[in-house]
Amino acid sequence: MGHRKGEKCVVKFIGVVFIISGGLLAGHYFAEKSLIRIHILEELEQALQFMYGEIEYAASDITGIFGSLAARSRYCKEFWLYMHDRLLENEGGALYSIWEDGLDKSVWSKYLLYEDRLFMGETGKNIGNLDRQSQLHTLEIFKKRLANIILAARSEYKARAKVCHAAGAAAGIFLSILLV
Amino acid sequence: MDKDNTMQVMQILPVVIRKRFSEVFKDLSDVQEIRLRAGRPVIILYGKSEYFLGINGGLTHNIKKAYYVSAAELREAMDYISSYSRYAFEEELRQGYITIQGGHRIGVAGKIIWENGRVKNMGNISFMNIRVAHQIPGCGEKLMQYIRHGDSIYNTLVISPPRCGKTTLLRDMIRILSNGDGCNRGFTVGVVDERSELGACYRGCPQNDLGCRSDVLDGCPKAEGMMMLVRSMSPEIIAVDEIGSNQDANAVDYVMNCGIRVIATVHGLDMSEIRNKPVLGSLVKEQAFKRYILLEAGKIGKVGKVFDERGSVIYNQEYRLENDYMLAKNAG
Repeated sequence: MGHRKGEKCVVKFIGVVFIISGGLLAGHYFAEKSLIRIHILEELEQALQFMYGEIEYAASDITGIFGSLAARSRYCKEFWLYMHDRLLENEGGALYSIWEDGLDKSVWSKYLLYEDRLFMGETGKNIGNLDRQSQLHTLEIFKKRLANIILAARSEYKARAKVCHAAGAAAGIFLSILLV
Repeated sequence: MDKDNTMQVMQILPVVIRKRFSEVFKDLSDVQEIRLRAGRPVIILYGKSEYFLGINGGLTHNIKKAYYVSAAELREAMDYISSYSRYAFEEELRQGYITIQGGHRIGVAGKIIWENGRVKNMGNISFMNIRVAHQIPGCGEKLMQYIRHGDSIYNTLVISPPRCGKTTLLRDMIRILSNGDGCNRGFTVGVVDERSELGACYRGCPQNDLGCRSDVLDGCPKAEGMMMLVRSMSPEIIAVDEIGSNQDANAVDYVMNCGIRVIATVHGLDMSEIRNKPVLGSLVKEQAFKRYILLEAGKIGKVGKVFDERGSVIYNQEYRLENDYMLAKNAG
């Protein structure tokens, strides 16, 4: 009987370890989600800078720019490729409506907050239909706004990561107490 | 006209008009122009006649049965033409036309934004003239025997009234000289294409065939372009279309003094008109040009005469530029 009690204790201990690990992993997942959001925003910042350079120095058209961005990007590759392919089709629709479609279909957009999504939507409405000077000026404004968003996201990240990890561990401990 | 060329024009039309076009035309080889005007019927210059695009499909001469273009459709077409990037075509819009892939030229008109005595931009584009590009390869073959001179060529001036085919002829002469043939070597030809009519460059690449040894300066003023080519591309021949100003003529003189041959075109009805031009006239008097090709007024593609440097006629048999093309096409 003592032997069986010992076995039950071992099983419970393993169970507790799993539950707490699960809690920690869940906390880590949510923390990583914030980090991926920052990486995506940083990639978008580079994309805006690339766009600025292509328009200022080469007067490249937006379809070509999207194609080049697809080759350079990691997180947003499918979005730029979608935009490039859709615009080449010439099947109607304003650029910003195709942009919105692209955002809706993108897997990475789920990592963005509501404000980030609004920002992306605004960016799409202000590309392509302006003269060169206004286009560059508009891109400059959007780059600055994005830089501020990234700064705020980075400063929040550390605290948020700690909270996520702690909450994950706490939830794991709480569950293990409940269940065990 | 090949399928790709047809697709290039079709792709820039608004979706609704494109569908109607594809029902009527399998290819656009006989279409010269497509005119789109906001609130007006679609007009097509097909063969030698003008037609309206029918509201129920097909072509019609009856304006009451014509399909009318909306302003939104013109904006849609402009999006396709500019690849959704009007900022990238500011210079072209200032000139009033955009060249697309395939060498087709879209003339546009609308509200001009004027600043500091020059056209700054064009907005509210409500009129479009799509000129479908047609090359006539081989139209210059018969004239080559008059301009070749040993291992080189004579400095040649093509004189023509407007819309008589001088640009088409010059284009083909550039191609023949650049490629060479079994008997004659190819030359390095520098082309100054100020109005993108010769090469019809799209993203820097000539859409018309100018030969394998041609270098093209697209959108560059003629005088500066000739100097740049002399300095940088070591041309054996420089080709330039529509020289008119004193600067152009001075640049031609400079190029000739560098030992480079020149083929140029100029507006004019006859030799006496050219002799009366101030700087170009002095080049003629100095016999700088050794060959003059005169195209006949009122007849597209008809070579009237070929003169030598003294003004003596060395070719007076009438033929049309297109004859050579049709002969070449049928033989091939």
